[in-house]
Amino acid sequence: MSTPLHVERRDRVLSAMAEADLDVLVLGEQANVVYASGHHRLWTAGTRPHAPTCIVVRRTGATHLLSTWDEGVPADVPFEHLFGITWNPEVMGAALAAIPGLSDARRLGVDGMTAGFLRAVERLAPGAELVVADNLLADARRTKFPAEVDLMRAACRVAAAGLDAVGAALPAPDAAAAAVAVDAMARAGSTRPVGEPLVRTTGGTTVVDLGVLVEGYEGGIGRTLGDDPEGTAAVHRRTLAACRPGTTAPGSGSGTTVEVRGAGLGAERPVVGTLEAGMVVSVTTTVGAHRWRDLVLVADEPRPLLGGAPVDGDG
Amino acid sequence: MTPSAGAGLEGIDVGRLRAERLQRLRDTMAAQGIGGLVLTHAPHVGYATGHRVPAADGSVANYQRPVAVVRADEERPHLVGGEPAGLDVVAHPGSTPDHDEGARALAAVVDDVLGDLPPDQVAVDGWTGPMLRAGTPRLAGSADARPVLGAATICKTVDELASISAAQRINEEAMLSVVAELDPGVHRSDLAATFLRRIRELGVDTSMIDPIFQPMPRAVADGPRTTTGDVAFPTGPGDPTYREGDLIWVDSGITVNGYASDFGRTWVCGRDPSEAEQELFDRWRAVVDAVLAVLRPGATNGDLCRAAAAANGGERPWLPHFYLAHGIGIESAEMPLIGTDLGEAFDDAFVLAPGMVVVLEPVIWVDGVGGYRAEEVIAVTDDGWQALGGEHPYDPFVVR
Repeated sequence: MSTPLHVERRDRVLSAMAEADLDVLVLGEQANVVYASGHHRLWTAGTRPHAPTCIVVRRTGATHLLSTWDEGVPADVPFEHLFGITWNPEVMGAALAAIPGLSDARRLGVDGMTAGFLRAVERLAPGAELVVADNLLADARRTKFPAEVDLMRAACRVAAAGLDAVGAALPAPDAAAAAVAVDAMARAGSTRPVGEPLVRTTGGTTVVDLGVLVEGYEGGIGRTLGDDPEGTAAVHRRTLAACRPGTTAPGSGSGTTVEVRGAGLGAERPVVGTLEAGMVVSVTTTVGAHRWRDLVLVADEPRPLLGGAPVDGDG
Repeated sequence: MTPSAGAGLEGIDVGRLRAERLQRLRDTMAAQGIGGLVLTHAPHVGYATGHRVPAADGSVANYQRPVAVVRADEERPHLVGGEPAGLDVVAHPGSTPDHDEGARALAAVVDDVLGDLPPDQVAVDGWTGPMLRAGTPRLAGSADARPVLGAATICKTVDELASISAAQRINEEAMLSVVAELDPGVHRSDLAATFLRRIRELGVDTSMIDPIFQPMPRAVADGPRTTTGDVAFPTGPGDPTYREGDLIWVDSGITVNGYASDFGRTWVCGRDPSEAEQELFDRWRAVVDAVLAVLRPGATNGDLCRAAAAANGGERPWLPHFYLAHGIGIESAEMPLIGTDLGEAFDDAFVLAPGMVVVLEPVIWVDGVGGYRAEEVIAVTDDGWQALGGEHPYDPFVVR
């Protein structure tokens, strides 16, 4: 039996902790929490106030989670490792103090902070050196396991169902077409958007850009429906074909704007510099009012997640 | 897009809304001895500057967010990054504090705008990793901005109340379309699809929570295990298919002008409630009526909790990991929090005042029968209370 995805990810985090000589990680960013723990929880929009949500202890290899119940929690996280929702800092402090390995941590990594949590850490782990660990997680998350690519491919298919529904609904006002898209994507498997759906009709063309999450993983698609006199689709296919390991991320030039950013547990950081095999990048090609976007797996033969065939480099 | 939705927005003066709340924020800073604020949480930034809060996944919301820098003694707040067009702010070029370049741009503005203040007079609501690396605002010695925001936002202006009420009405109207589709064999995703489509048809694109249509177990032991020993709600995963007789707890939230709604109801799939289920609702209604009977300015949280328990045979009728009631505004749950694990002394010391909003969410549970849960959004007025939203029905339960 293959290793479950959440175990693969947790092992990678534990290795990164060992390399960075971190005893404990206290994570608050939602995607980092999901990456390290495999905890599936209710989706909410927007920024979240930082709070200690997942604690990873290197010595024990254990993850401890802020959750009042065990639904959505991987079976290998024992019930005793859950601490419930609380409004009381003393209750939270007591729950954290009970985590083996926290109080005697020498180096404690965080992916964000609040003044209140700083006070708590100073009390709970008085000897600990605070280490800023957001880059450690970003590095761990950058290249994808095959199971992650599968989930992103599934999310891309949901987004494509939204695109098909918009195509069938046109002509329609932009807001009405966007409503059709979210309805179709919900029925196809996701009610969790990455961003706001874009449907914008100008002249004879309609730009559609949709993104959704499946089990936390991002999928998306951008297309321009209608005439394509500038050949933007061909430019976009050539851009995708350039996403090979060891090459510099495709850049903008001569009337074409290209954006390349990481994709995974939601949107990841813009990619600056060299592409690595196993990254999934979201590539947006814009020429004038035309915009195309695909998620592509960086490989010697780069594959858009929605297409089975290697990208045709000649457009 | 429909007249009924637009009508609720009439009379809301967004300019007045922004000016009045900024004044409240600066007055609260002065009262708490805070000279400067650095705000990174999007609803806080929106409160201080009017910057729009998108309904995007956190991963995108983080990368789209600007930062607000506010001085108590300056009229206009500073906005670092974001989209300042149309806002009465001092705009600074910049980008998200979620990468190093943006955090460095922010640090330069903070040095420039707040550099003369001692660290303990600068309050921050949260540091990203890149902000911690940039070193400004300082982590050590800075104050926590959350008490400032909590105090400033707790009593709503007339435009804030109207925005919450408009959001609630649109949320309710969308739910009328959803409940009409509930039948055996329908999936949760079908109901969510209709809700998400319908709010857009009503002119709102900000669903702030994956809408919840959770079929509930009849006994706690049949549901997920909880740290409190009580029933688990709201859980997130899965796409259940409803069966006849399912009791479904519903919860959703959208925003208008950045102000949240909170819709809660219990539905029964495919049949009328049984007498035992209807009695759950009767008790829920009695608890709400008892709380409303004591709700007025000067009442304490403790008064509300005691009234609720007294109407429920002495038992506290709410989920122990939540509360009897919570506030609502720029967050779907904010102060006042009533009946939490902060304890009775906290609740007895907290006095309700005009302009506060409480979302009552008692839960009646009879193990083996199941539970009834719904939410009522209530504003505290000068002499009592007023319901916000549009008096949404309790169907299929009857008020008797």
